[in-house]
Amino acid sequence: MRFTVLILLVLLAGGCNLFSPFYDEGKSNDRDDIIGDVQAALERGEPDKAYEYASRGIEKYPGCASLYYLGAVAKVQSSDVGFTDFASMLRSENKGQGGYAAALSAFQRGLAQGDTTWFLDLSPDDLARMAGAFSVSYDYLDSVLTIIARPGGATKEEIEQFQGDSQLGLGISGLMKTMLTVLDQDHNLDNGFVLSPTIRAFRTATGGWSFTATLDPAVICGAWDWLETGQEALYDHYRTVVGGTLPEDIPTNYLYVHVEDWTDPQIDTGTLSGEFFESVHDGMVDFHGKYSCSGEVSRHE
Amino acid sequence: MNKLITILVLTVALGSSALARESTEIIGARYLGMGDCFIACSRDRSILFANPAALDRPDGRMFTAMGLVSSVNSKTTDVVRFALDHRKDFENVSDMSEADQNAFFDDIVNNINFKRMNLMLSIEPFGMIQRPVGGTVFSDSRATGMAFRGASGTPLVDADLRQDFGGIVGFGWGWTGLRSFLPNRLSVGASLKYIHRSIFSTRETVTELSDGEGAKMLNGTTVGLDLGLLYDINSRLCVGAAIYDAIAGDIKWKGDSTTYSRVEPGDIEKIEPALRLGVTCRLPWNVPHLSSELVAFDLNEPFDGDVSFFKKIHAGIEASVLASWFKVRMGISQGYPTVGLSVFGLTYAYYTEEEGRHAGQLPDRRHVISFGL
Repeated sequence: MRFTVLILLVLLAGGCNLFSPFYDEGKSNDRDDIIGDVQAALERGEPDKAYEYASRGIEKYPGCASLYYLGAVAKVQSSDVGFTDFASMLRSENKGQGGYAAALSAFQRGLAQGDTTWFLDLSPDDLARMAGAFSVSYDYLDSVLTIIARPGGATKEEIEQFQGDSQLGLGISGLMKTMLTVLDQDHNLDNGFVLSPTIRAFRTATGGWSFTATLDPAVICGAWDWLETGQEALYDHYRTVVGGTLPEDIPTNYLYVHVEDWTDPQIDTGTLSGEFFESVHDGMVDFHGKYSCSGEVSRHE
Repeated sequence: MNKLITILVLTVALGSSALARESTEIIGARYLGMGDCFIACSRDRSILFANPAALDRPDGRMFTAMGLVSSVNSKTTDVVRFALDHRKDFENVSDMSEADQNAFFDDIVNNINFKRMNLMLSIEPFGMIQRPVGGTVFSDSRATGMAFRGASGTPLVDADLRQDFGGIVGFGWGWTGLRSFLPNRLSVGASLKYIHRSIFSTRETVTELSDGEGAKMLNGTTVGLDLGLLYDINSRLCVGAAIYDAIAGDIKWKGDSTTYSRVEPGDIEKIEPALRLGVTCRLPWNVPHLSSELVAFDLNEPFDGDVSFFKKIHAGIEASVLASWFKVRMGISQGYPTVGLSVFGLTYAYYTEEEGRHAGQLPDRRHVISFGL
């Protein structure tokens, strides 16, 4: 008896919870429990567990927007992808005077030029880490927005909590997935990421990395739909952020946009979302001018 | 980058400036120190918030001037400590190279990622209890704020602010030997409360934060009735129950619409009744240097199926050590240990609130002090 009391006191003194043995986290089949498990693991700083719980939950509840969103967050956190990775993709050599968004556009233009050199602050290993994260976040966030768009597909709370970040995240993920797929050996991130042997990677004198490549138009066009889906999400995000200040003649849906006909979108670049949108759009115009990717045409017809 | 750093600095400041989650902190540090038990043992100025039936048996006549309860969680203190340790870096951000800015930005994000900051301040400028009536006016402000890397690694801010102003008046009745099966003292009580509530609740991405739209509070009012009951099983053992908001009007939010607010003007906040049961026992022990030993047990919302059973359990003990003005407490709340002590009118407690769905999932450790003249 005294021994039991002593153990209890030691557990309590250590801040443990007396009742934690009564709930086996990650084992429940209840939808709300699974969402709670993912959220709790994320907030405890255990993103690997959170991703495992979310993946299991998605198998059981494939129509649950919360699980897809939290799963995307968990994957990105477990891969340790942060904003500085994104910034590092766009280091100063690419940036010029136009800020990160301009650098983003320059990166895309590089792709559009077909043979190019990129300067990154990321090593091939970093690219592999990001490829795993953005490939999953793209798929999951696309599912979130598909569920939200379906009448009754998501609750009001899910829409308020997840829509804004899902739009922004899908935009960034679509762009990154396209870029990384182009750099990948077999151009399929589902098989993991290995830097294509046709791409030469070397350290620069300033400590970054430089990549040179000659790109295959078929590969670029194969990734076009991801870019366009991401851009559609960025466009919706931009429209939400700027609210009622949009010009009247602006298209209501990016799917109605023929990028080759909309070279000057008159976007308010005074906002971060406008900057993101316009720079990616500029890149897509360049892409289209170079390759005339057919995926985009088929989506409009 | 400067814009983003500014946003995160503001996030830290937001988390440091205020409040948001329903809890029993307003009842005071005394009860949080003893496992968050109060239903059957509250006899002090917290009666009006804890159990109006105790107005039939308060610890004498009480006047309160400048009663204060404040709590802060350890995640907030971590973030504040980080901000203070890096004060010079924050001041010199604009002079940093881009690489240093990125590294500093990474450091900030890593240090505040998913740290849910929580602050609460409750002020009771005036209150009076004289058997069998009592009344008080109060303000109760709560804030939670959290920033985390979102679904593409870009930061998000999640914030809730809530401020209540209100007043409570209550009345308690008691009978001894009312029925043959109720031979001892039975007390019942009711209190009527008026609350004017202001809230702000949002989750925003960096792009949404950068659009410059300011935060606007929504306002609403409600009137609610709390009911309480106490019964002495014998001279040492007492059982109690309270139904909070047994009858209460819903809150209809008024104010200006904002793009990212989770609550819109015209939305209705339903106020649901909440039941809490408790039992307390004055111990017959004769321990040297200890007196007024009290054991209490509470069961919160026993019939609410949305909350796991182990999150509802509270138990604690209190005793005076050497003198009646020095009390120590300990307990278990939702499975976590609690401790507390009082010296004269100043009370401190350390306790843990379970933020997850099940006990043991997501502990939020908090410090709370209360003081009253």
